[in-house]
Amino acid sequence: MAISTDPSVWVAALLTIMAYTIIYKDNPLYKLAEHILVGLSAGYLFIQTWKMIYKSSIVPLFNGSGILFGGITIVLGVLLFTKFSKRYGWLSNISIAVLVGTATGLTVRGYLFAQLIDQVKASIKVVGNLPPLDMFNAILSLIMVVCTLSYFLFTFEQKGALGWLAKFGRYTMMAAFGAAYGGTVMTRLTIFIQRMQYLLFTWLGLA
Amino acid sequence: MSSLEKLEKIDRRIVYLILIIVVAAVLLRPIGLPIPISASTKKYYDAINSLPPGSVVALGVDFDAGALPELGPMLEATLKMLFNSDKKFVIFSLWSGGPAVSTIYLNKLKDLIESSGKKYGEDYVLLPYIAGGETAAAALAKDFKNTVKNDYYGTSVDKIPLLKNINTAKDFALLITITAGTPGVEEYLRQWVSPFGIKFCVGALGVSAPNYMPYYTSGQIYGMIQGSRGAAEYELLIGSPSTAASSMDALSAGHIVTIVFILLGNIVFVLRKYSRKEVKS
Repeated sequence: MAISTDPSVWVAALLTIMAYTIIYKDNPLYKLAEHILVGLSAGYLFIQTWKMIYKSSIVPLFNGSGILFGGITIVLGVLLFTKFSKRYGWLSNISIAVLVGTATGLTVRGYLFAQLIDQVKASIKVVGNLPPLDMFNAILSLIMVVCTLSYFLFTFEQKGALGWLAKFGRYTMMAAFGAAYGGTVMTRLTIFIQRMQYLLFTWLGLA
Repeated sequence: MSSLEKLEKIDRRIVYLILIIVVAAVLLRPIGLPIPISASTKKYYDAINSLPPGSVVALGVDFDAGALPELGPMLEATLKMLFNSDKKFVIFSLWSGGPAVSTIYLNKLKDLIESSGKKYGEDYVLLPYIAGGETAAAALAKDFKNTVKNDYYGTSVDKIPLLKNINTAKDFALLITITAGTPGVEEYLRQWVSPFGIKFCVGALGVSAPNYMPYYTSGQIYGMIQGSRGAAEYELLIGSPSTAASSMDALSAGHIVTIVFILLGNIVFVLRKYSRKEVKS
């Protein structure tokens, strides 16, 4: 056992322990660790974003390589801050309209192909030369998709055949939520295990 | 208070304590459970392995320090495989913390980089954070060099030999994103994969992997590493077991503890419900 003498390792180890004291109960040590994390993250994000804006918009504006592009983006950015003024607040709507319009235009086109047409095509690929297990998977997926969709069919009363389909659809969703929960447990446990490895091996040197 | 009531009201701190003891014990005394390789991880490996020599891979490091425990080993293993291969690659990030994470692993793999003979700028390049989420992903795909002017160290992209022939997403042989969420998989699917037909591989958190399964089964995602388990499989595939593989026993033990407490909670819940009904009747 050789405890680390590296000050940065000690800082990381102590902050880890401070963060995990929340397990016992809420306390000032946990709050301190939490505030350090939030402050550092916000500061880091601000600097990285500023660097990006500086290089892509401000520098081209002053060196003449992108006066139009740099000027427009900076004006739109500054207009966002008029939101704080009662008199000129409406000006920020111009920037918001550009943001929403650009994002919608980009997303809708891509969404239609990537997340609708390709997904529908994949759901109906039952016919074809698939191996038996893949064929079974494809048929099961198709049945599950139809049943889950029928659960959200509120135009008709869900009884009889539709009721059974909707019930199976509910079980399908429960299975999907279970898988998502399992994934969540794995992610949280992995973070915990990694911190334990750090404390046991990197900090305490218990190899 | 009956024993069932006591069990139902067990202090959550006892659960945490048991978890800490079990995980620590297994980390210190590993069991050595087998790690079978899943099809999605194998396809991720094959996607890189089957590329012709000299192919350029776009590697999106789309996560920050919060996801390091799960995605860090995936990134490390991917970099190891790329440095040991005859492929070239461009590292970029739609997450502000991405470049910092990339530099952690590039520094860690310094010896491997030297021994592989790969040269910065010719065989690999690190780009800075590209702000804008989906807009940035779309701009990169359509006009790579006009979207990002400099590399991470400030060198103009026009002076980087590797980027000489990179203009759109079509100039990459493979897109990989190791991602902790948005922007990530869905943005690339909409802006890179669907319009340009590029082969796409994903390294995902365990919590997000089930959400991406529809894209994997439809073939839009070719290969996928799912959570730390997938990372362990990938480490074994490239013949370099590291942090993910060594944590698998502890992860299994942690899962067993979780499952036991879920079962126990449900059994106690059902028994209590049954005993209350009996008292009523």
